[in-house]
Amino acid sequence: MKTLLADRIAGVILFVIGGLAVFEAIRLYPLHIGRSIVGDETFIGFLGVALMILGGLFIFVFKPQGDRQAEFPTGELRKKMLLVTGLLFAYWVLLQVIGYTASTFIIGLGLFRTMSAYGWLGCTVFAAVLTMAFYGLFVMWLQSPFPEPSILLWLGR
Amino acid sequence: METLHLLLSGFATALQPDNLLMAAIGAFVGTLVGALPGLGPTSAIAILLPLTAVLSPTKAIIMLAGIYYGAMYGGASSAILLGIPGDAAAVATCLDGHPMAKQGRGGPALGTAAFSSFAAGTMGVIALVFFGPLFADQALKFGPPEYFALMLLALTVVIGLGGASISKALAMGFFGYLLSLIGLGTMTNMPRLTFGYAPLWGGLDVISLVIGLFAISEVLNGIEEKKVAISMGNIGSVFPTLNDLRKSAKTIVRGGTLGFFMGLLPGVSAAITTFLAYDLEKKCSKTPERFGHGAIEGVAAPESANNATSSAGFITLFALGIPGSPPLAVLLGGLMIYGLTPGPMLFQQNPDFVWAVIASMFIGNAVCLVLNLPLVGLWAKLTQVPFGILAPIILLISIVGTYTIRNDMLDVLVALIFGILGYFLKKFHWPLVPLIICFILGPMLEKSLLQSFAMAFENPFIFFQRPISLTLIVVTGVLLIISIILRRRTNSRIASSGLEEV
Repeated sequence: MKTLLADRIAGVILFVIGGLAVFEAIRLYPLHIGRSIVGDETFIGFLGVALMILGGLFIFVFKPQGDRQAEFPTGELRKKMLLVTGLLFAYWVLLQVIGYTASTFIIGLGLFRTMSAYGWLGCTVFAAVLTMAFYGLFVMWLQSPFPEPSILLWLGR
Repeated sequence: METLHLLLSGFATALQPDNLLMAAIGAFVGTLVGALPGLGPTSAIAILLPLTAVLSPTKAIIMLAGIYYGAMYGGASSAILLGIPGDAAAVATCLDGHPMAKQGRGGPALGTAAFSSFAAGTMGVIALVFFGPLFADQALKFGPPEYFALMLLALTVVIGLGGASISKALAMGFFGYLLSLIGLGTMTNMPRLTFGYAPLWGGLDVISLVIGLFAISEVLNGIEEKKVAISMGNIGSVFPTLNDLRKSAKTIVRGGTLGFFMGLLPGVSAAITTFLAYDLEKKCSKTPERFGHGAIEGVAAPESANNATSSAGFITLFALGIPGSPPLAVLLGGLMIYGLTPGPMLFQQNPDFVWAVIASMFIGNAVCLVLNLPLVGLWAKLTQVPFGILAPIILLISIVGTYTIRNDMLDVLVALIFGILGYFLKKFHWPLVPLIICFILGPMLEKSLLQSFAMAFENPFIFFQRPISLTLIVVTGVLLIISIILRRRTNSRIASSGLEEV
């Protein structure tokens, strides 16, 4: 169990986000239309200042609640969660590279293998059934236009 | 008379066979996903929203109404059978519902929950028919300052749903507002907050945020909690006995009435009204010692209050554009996909559409009851499907579903990033709902602010010089105080119930 003083760290993040918003408001100010006192930057500037004030309060004024420490997974569970997260980002990449059907099968297989207690054969069957069901739902019924696999472009097709 | 005519015309649309089929599919899949342990109605609606994206607006909204009622009922199933509340509003249902399930009376508990939800939901929708147009009559008096004051009123909801810390709720709300401003500026049409990254010119899509924060992060939490299938014993007959119905009848009326009228106040969520109804029922009972040990009234009271509050939430959603609960916030995101912008002008500008939606709510609610009573056994079995099988399906459907909304891979990336962000925010008890509500309302708030200044020749006191906007600002102040008091009371009740706040 680790005490991260999470609220203070969040305060720093809020302060930085608020600072970025104020910076953006200053950048936008010269683009004002006419002599109006409000423009595209007004609300952003207000939010930036508000977030900086709240961030400052979290850093310097509010006391972190010691009894609300966050527990993070360790060991095998941490590996499992990182693998699942990695697979999700890999799906985002593969969808664009090898196309919808192949990537759904591969990532589905990986997710079932990581998260369930079944062996490779069982997970392959689950992944295949899921891919077919999703193909029927999203491609045949809903007719969603998925990205063209870029691998086909590289192969010159 | 005109209202009745419009309602009948709405029914004519909603009762067409293909629309009826959409309501049934929506109710079925809504219950199916809502019943998954720990997911809750908000996540269920978020996961299923993309499935409606390719339908025509009317069909999609009818399906959404079915999904909404189905998910609400499904949430009660996991609360009763497993003692796992999907959201804070289901905690009170657990108190007596789960003991009933342990005593082998899970069936009657689920049946009573379904019947209470249906009765109170119907009462609420009937009230919506009468109250909605009353609000709509005031619509033409609304100018930009009134809209701005209305958006301020939404802050009471942000505070009310913000969990334990008001400062965290405000910070999340402001962050949500900021995210909503990414894209092209309202006045100059120049890119802002994009930091030179052109794909962000189109702004962030609400659905990718919703799916990331409520579906993907929920699964990540589920892996950590090592969710496992829980074997249920015999749940008994699903139909409540005559004695159960006799005991519950007055409870449903009391809980439904309390839930509805309290639910009309923005900032008073179902989590609050369910506990108020439960406590009221305990006080009215001649045998209060039965509560907490499987009293049927302990299920009927919170369930009827929950559904009546949700129905009352539709009034503030449609008439004022303010979502009063997390599922309604997600539903609002869905309605906006189809060009339906809730608010005072809605009944004036889209009467056919609105009345078709209201009629479909009646139908969605009825379809839910018809489907759920015979299928209670199926929902009970569903809780036994291993999480290791369900989770990959939910994750993949979330990702593909996010893509299908705008056919944009950036939305998928945003959903993944917000999924991880949501996981950490939940870990540290930062509320997610204020972020979504403010993200949805942000553009409207900014537009009304800029227009107000333009029409008042830069006079910042315009908001206090017009009767409706001044009234709304005063009401906002009063409601903020009420919602803070009620929220503190509910938090202490949840803490004393022994169940963790969700």
